[in-house]
Amino acid sequence: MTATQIGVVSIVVMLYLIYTGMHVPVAFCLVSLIGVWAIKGSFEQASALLALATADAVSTYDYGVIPLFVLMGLLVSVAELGRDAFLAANALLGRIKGGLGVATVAANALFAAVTGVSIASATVFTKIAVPEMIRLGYRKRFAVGVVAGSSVLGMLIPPSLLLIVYGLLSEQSIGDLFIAGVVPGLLLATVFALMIVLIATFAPSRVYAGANASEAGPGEDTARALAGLTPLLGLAGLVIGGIYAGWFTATESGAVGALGGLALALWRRKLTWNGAWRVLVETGQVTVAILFVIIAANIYTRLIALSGLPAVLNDFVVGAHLSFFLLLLIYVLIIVLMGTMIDAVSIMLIMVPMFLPLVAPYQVNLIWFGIVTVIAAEIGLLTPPFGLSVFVIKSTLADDDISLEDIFAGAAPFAVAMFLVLLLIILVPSIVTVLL
Amino acid sequence: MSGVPAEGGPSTASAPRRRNLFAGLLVGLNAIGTVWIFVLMLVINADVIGRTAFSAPLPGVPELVRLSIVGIVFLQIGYTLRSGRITRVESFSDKLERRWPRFALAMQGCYSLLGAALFIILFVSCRPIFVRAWTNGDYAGVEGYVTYPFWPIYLILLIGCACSGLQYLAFARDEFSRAFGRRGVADGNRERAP
Repeated sequence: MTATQIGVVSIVVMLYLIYTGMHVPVAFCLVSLIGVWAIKGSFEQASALLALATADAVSTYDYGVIPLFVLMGLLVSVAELGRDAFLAANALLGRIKGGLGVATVAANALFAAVTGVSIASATVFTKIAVPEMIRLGYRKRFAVGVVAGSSVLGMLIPPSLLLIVYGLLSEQSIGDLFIAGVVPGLLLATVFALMIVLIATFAPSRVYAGANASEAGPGEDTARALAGLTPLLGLAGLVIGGIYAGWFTATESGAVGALGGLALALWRRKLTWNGAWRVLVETGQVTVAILFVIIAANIYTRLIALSGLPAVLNDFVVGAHLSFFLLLLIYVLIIVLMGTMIDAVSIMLIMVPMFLPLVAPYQVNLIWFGIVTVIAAEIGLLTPPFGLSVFVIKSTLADDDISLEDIFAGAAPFAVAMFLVLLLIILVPSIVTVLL
Repeated sequence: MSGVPAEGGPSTASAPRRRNLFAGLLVGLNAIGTVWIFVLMLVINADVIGRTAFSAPLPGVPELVRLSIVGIVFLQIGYTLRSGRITRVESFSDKLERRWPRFALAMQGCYSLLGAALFIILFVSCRPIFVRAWTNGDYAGVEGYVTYPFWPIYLILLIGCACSGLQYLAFARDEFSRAFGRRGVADGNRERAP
């Protein structure tokens, strides 16, 4: 077998192992190890490469971003900043058509500015927004669909774990990626909100369960609800503004944000000793899970380079006279397709090292390429059979009346909207680069 | 069913004790890593505040961050693995387990053995790195201010690999004994539908 064939076989085997339930990093490491062994013909060299890839993690300062932003996200959840966001958004937007849905989207966008994981958003708003919507006569399917759809904003509006992962894979500045995520995130939120208003106006039966639906916001007065946003906006401003102004690195802003989240949780008396310990243990587990996968990707990237696969793909692209737009479209479609089966981080690990050398000659902005990648991978959070956000909502909800199928169906319009926004961003790259 | 984690398999009298010791070790290592994350957060903040407010940065913080990440990951990897938090796609294997539980368990057992193999290979191939750092006295940091020797980090790496390898072996043993044993495939952790 040639090196290229070994590369192709490795990827196929890897996808098979991941899909059938092998731990993702184990699949990456083992297949890469065997692939390098087959190409180099020496087990010693292959295992030395594996050891080096693992120990190399020592020399990467940016890995520190992960535990710190995860910690921050968990602490702001404990501090109930998500509830603040929902109350304020509801007070402002609750009275328009489909108002609670729009408010959920807006609250997600706000909360996304202090948390980097879609799962966190999905959990928080399943608990806050879904019961409220059902109480006011919204259809259950619509309520869970809105929460699932808008939870993806958590991964796009900075801080974002997926942007961090892309930054580590492509050696792009995580700070720049964060700044670049702002406008696309707000654009996506706006599109979501408009879509909800349109559906509520022209197809109300899809939104409301009966005729008795009301749009009255809660009794809370608007000024007080808006004032409740101060801690959230302050923290988001400090973290993102600090990166934008160049006061601190992405890692440092994570530490500052985590300390801020801790202060808020303590100030509001939401943090017990037990709760604090649980938050820290959870932080460690999320960190290990992600960093283990990234260490594994390190060796896989070397396998891809050794196999010469990017060069072969490049020859194919040149030979077939593919335009850059078409190449990108293929890339996006592969990611979306993979997203129906495996998780977003694994997809990025497989695809980015292969396509980065392919698109680099086109002089594209690699920050923009990262945003495109992340949105494409995020569509997979909403599509069956494997939609992580949907699973999280289902398990948080613990309501047998709402099936997985209901949530997938409710989230489908949001997945479509994401795809349209993605196309727009591909056609108009300045949406991403405007703040850079 | 009880909420006690299933350890499965027939065992001699001393085996549960040994298992509890191992579980305790993982919890302990995890706790050290947990505290480490918190301390790291405080140190970075001290550096940022010292730098911006008093123009007095703490020396060597970036180096500390680098070393800490490996330390934290490999202190916590065994416990994370044991808690079932390593990334894994479950949709297919869950279906398989409902359909052919014994086959699914046997397959998972094979995957666990492969996991153990990976960590054994990693342990063996990382050992020279530790030995080199130990004999050469390699360090990171700013000479004259703060230096951090590399060897404790590589030692943690080796310990983490050993723990994960053992945990995978424990998984494999449990899965195989449920796949081929007479006690049935029931898992003490999972509520079964009536």
